[in-house]
Amino acid sequence: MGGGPASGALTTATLHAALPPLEAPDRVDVVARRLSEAIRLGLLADGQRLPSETDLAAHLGVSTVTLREALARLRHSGLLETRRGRGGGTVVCAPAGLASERLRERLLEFTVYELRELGDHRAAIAGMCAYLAAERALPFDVDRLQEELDRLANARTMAERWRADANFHVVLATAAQSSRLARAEVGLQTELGDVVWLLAEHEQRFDDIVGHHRKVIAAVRARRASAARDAITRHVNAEMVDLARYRMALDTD
Amino acid sequence: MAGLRGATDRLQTAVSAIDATATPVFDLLDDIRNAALAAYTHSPRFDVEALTPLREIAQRALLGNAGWIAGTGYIAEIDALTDQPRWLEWWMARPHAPQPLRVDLDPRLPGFYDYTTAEWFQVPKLSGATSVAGPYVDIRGTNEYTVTVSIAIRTDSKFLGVAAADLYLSGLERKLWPTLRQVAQPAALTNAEGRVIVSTDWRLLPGELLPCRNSPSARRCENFPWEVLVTTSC
Repeated sequence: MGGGPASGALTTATLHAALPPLEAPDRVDVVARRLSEAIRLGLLADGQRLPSETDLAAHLGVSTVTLREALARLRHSGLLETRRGRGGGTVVCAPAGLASERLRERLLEFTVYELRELGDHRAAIAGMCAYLAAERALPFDVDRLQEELDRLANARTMAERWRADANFHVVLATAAQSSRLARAEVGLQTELGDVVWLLAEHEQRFDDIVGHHRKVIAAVRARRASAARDAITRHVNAEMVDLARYRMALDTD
Repeated sequence: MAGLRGATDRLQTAVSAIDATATPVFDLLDDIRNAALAAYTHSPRFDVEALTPLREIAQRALLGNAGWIAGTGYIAEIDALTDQPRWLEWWMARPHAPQPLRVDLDPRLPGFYDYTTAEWFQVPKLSGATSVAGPYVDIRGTNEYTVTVSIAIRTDSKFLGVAAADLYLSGLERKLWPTLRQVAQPAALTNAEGRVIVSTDWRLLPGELLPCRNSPSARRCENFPWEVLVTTSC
């Protein structure tokens, strides 16, 4: 600290802490990723026309400026195109090829550094969720975790696996009785999306994930908070290291 | 002994005061149920449009119970409405005017809000009884830590859905704190599972589980499946 009363211009750090910038650019990210996810999962089919920009912006709860920027990004990556005339408007161009190829393209949108940052954040959130769930969950909550794990273990497609894993983490957050942690968990899942499932293509890796989750449930059930936190933190960290490695390998191909 | 009896009386006073707060909630749920039944019986089609009077009741109730009822509305049984397979006619209190809740109702979407499995939907549907669910994190819905009070809406032969109201934990605490404070000893309001809703004991925070069950000091509420107890006896 410089000492003495504050005077003169605000430092950038103080300004950011006191008046954090509004999150418009983040919202563009979220909207762009959500749309591209829906296209990749096949929820928005090839050739399907999107609602008008005004309607879609209202539906998503964002400004038309934010939406337009997100749409521009998807046009740039070829997932959308604009057609003129009758039956025109913004149209979905579902990419051909295997889902895993599309996921690889998406993984390339992240830098290795961004993956590490996301990994740290996910580990912090998931770790605390597991810790608090062990202290606060009732048998009913543990049963719900077990249900999601069973769903995960029996999932066949990558999309099913992704959804069951995402739900496992969300149920853990709700078992922690924390709406803030649950929101943070959902937000991180939206940001990272389904690229984690590139790892689950390898059956060995998938079995590891199921095994890790089993350990978390056992620790939550036994009310061993630190053990639950350690188990899930190790799992999330390992997942992100693998993802970073995968991402690095993509560039050298 | 006089001191202990005094504390017991004060617990009973707190329980009565908490029970009294239920009245506007139950009145509202009756109004919503009646509006849904009227729409079902008298509209040419039981669709979202037919819910307009119900919508107005919900909005008015939120304005009239600011800080207490955080959200309210009608949640449709699957395929009960003719134009939407799933529907929440749900309104939330906001600073200027009530706002509708927007959720993903498409089962194929990752963020799908599957309300049919929620306790507040299942219990009235299966048992016909009033449900007081939570506190729970309403993830993918309002995302708030919530208590939901709900009742079934049924005709003679058909279950149409539920009428419900949300009470958020902050609202519950602001409303019930003075009452709990009057117990004069550290006290807590807990749900049937022993989860703390409001507490005046710093060692026991909202959302945490009571370290003991069946405390001798516990007094049961009538309108909610809740208990008030002196935490030092726990």
